[in-house]
This record gives sequence, C-alpha cells and structure tokens, in this order.
Amino acid sequence: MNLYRPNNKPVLRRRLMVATALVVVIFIVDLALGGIVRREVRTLSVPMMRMTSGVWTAITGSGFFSSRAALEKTIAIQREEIARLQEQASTYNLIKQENDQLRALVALTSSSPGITAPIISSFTSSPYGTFIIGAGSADGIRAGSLVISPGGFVVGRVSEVSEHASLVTQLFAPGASIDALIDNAPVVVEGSGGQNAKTRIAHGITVREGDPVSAPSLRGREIGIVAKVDSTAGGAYSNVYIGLPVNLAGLQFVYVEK
Amino acid sequence: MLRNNSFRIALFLIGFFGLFISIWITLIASTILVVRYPAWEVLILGLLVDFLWLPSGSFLMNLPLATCAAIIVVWAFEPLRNEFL
Repeated sequence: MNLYRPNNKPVLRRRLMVATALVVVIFIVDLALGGIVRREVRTLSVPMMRMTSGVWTAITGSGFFSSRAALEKTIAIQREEIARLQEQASTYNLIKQENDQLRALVALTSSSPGITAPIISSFTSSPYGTFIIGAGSADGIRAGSLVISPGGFVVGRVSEVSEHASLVTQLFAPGASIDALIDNAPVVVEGSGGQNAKTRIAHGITVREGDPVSAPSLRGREIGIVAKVDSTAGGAYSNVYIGLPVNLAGLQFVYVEK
Repeated sequence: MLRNNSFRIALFLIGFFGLFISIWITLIASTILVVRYPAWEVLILGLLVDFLWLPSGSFLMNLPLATCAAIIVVWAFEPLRNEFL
C-alpha cells in the first residue's frame, strides 16, 4: 500500500492554466463578435432569473430570515389570526402593490409612448449598477430607451437589447455621470451606486433637501431629489447628495419609453 | 475525497445561484473556493458576472472587473495553497 499522498499539484496547476486561457479566449471572442456570447448567456439565464427571483421572494416573504424579535411578533400575530386569512391578506397586499404600480405606469403612457416591462433580476445581483427587464427588441425596445419608475423618475437607460430581455444601466450606476439641473443651477451628477449620486454646487446657490433634480438631456425629466446638502466642507463648494425617491428593490414594473 | 468534492460543488452552486440573488453570495462562495481549492470554477463565475451584468462595448469603457478579479485571486492564492494544503 502506498502511504504517500499522490502529488497531483502540477496537474491541478495545468488545469487552472487551461481554464484561465479558456476564459480569456471566450472573453476576446465575445468582444470581437460585438457581445453575441453575452447576449446568448443573458437569454439563457432569463428563465433561471425568473425562477430564482420567485423562490427568493417566497423564502424572504415567509419570514425565514427575520430577526428573533420580528419572528416573535409574527408568532404573536399568527396566534390571533387564522392562517387562511393571513395568507389571503398577504396575497391581497401583493396584488394591491402590483396594481398601484401598474396604475401609476398607465398615467405615464398618456404623456409618452412606451411599454410597461417587468423587472426580472434582483437589483443586488449586479456589481455594475445594471438590471434586466423582461422586454426586448420584439416589444419595440431600443438601446438608449429611457426606463422610468411608476413615480415618473428616470431610473436608467437600456444598454443592450435581446429579443425578449434588455439590460438596463442605472443613471446612478457607480462611475456614471450626467448633466443635470438643481433649481436651474447646472451641475454634473456622479453616480455612487445603490440609487445614490452626488455633485458639488457653489456656496452662493441655495439648494434645499427635497429639491428635484432634472436632466435636460432626458427631456427635462426628473432623475432624483436632493437628499442632503453638506456645506461644512471647505472651499467654495457644497457637497450635494442626491437620492432616487424610489425603493428600487420593491419595484416590480418599469415604464420604457420607445 | 468525495465529501471534499461535494463541498466544492455545493460552493460552486451557491455562487452560481448567488448570481441571480445577490453578488455578495457569489463573492463569499468564490472567496472560500479560492482559499480552499485551485478552483477554476471561480473563473467561470467571474466570466458569468461580466456576461450577465456588464454591457458590451469598448474594453476600456466597460472593464470586465469580475473576470479580472477572478483571475487575480485564483492565481494569488496559488502559493498559499501550495504551502499549506
């Protein structure tokens, strides 16, 4: 019997090297073909995304990851209520929320032609400030189309379109910037990710929390509101923090302008 | 050996499904994988992150950070794994 452990490190290293080379080659091929490979990957992942999203919503909705205090509270409530009624109530809330969002989107259709599309990916999945919607070129969506929340705020722009799904880049994606107006003062807003952005404004210009921020390049549509003004920084400028007054994680539908 | 492989496969699957739930899940699973194994799967996960979430375009404008990070960590942990595992 051989008591020595077999030394398979060279084999493992070679395997790792081959995998690295393969990954680089796949990436270069995709780059050379104008992103065909990634579009196919995205198309193939859409059913998986829908399934995972549904399962995750069901798990989190069931209270599995709630804190101890929240669970105790839920137990207390459950003792008072009949399980069937509770289930009906949660279903009703879900449908009501969906209905409210769709009703708000219907109001948008009267002002500009477009389409209501479901969000099929999680906002926390992407490290690049992107998300996927369930509508594509077959529905008349083009790259560059504006993506608007039910409240009328521009959330992002369509970056890439496949037949039945599109990749949307958030306006406030990390590293993104856009020319905007705060109370008629021109500023350059820089995205910080997580539906936040920041800019600098000269001390002489009065900006208050809650002021709307609009983008002339997006036909003057609103892109956020002033969340905080920090005048304590030295120099001639104040730091202005901008937020999107929309809970992106709770958003189920968006309106895409054609 | 079999248990070892099962753990590795389980970590890969967690990382894979994390792609659709939260990037943090993928990140944690990948980190454990590269520390413990010479995990070529992490390269696949990095590539998938970029293919799913990074818009195509010029290489410099849309740098594939996830793929680059995966290649770096997989090879950066190689001497450590050789020494201790």
